Amino acid sequence: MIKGISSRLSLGLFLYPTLVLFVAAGVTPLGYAIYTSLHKMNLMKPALGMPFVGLANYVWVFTNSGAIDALLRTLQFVALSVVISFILGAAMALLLNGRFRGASLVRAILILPMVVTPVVTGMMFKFMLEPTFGPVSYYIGRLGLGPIDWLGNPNIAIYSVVAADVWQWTPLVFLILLAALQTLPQDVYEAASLDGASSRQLMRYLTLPLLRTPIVLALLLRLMDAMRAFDQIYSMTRGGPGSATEVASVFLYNSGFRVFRMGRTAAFAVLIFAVILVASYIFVKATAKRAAREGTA
Amino acid sequence: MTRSNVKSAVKTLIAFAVAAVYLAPILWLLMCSFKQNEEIFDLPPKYLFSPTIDNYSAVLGDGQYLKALLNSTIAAAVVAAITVVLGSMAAYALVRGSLRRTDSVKFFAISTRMGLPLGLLISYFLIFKHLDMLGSRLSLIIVYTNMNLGFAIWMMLGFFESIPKSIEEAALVDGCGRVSAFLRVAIPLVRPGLAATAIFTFIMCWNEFPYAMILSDLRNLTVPVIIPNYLGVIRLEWGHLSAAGMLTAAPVMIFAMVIQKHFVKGLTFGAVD
Repeated sequence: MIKGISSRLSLGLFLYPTLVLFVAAGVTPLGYAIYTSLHKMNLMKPALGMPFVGLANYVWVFTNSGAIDALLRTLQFVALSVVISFILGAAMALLLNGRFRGASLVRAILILPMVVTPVVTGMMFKFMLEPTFGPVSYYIGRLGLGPIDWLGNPNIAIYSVVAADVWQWTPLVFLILLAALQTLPQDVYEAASLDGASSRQLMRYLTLPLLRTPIVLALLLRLMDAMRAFDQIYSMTRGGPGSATEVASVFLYNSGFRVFRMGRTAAFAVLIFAVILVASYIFVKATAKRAAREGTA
Repeated sequence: MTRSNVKSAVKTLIAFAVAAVYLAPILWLLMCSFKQNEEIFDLPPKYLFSPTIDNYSAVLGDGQYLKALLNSTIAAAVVAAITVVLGSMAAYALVRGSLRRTDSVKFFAISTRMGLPLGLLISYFLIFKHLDMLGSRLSLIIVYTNMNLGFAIWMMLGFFESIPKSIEEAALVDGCGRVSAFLRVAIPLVRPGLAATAIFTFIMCWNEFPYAMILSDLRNLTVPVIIPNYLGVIRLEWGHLSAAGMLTAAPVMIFAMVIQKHFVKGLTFGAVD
């Protein structure tokens, strides 16, 4: 009995350092962000202090054209990046499902884009897309197209930063879907083929329903990654030209550390954070459901 | 050749074509890192050239890069060590204690790692400014530990769960306390997990950019922060940039290969086993 208590006590102690850190470095800054978001705070004008302004900063987010544009641009960036990387990743997974020589080597190579330091990825793409001597511009020029100023043209720059994000994260979709495809029950497919199902029908009535959960997971992970994309975009364009690539994360950075409007920036951050929190929650529920189903199967 | 052999060969071909496209930007950077600066501007691009290590010697000879390399290594290694210690303790408590709330830990892990880092950046900046810690290495270490800990706990949960309870119970019956059962029985059994978690954390810290940019001062700058400087207003050194980029990315690429499976599992939150 005494031993039980002491063991529970020491196990509880094991959690304390983590809880302390979590409160100090996780909860406190979040609380402070909310607090800041309710105050006017301009680091360039410290004499004004930090007057309470209620929800004015939130109103500002929804009425300021710069902030709204950043949100819309984030939507555009996220939608493009998620959809393109999903289609490419799914196509690759379907194409490369099954045994072939060199499969593990290819899988290993495809991990690399996800681990290359994102700032290096950004600079790498800046290099590839350089309008005069970058290889992409050169070879596209040889095809008779161009010259295209990939990062300097405000109408094109957003697609260039999407390309870097797609390059980095398509392998994630590929690996998730490939892993899922490999667990599909082969006998069911054989039975269905014997019954005369076409490959389109197999796809529609077998593969897609069976892959529902991994597809949702891949999309949610991509969604969260695309929402917080910053490093490559910042190192490629710093949000420019003008504000053509200023997605939410870059907007946050610029308005916080270039304009120093901390209250407004905090309000913007809190709103974005809420969206990500909801996405994380859905993610956890989705994986929990999957785990439960696998447990009973 | 049978039909399935042909099919497999075609697949291999497609697979390597895809992989080649994926590797192209990295290989391009690698190639340029061994070129003279003038050769980089040659059109059409030259694929045969006499390689030089000038760029590497210039980058490594410049005190700034080496200093940043040292700063990155210290920050990443210290955070990896702290994270593994705290993470394994917490995970062990969650697995063996009666307080199992894996779901909320998972939620915590995902929200700290997926949460927009910039959302908290302003708070960190203001708080560390109040505490007069802005620019210190400690501020970065605290932030990085918080960023990785939830995730490390979640990763360690899986490793501890795979240990049969009976092994530790035997130790407890033999008069071992919980702490020594943890240190002498459980920890040695999850050593590969500790290594994988440490390496994963190291990679995450090594690559981190926005926190480092705001929270470090000139003495503590990490590598990602100085990389964009190679294309500054004054100097446009594509050769140096390529060499610095390769030097920066190579360690984490190697680490990711070493813990391949765990790395993918980690990135996908366990969706790929």
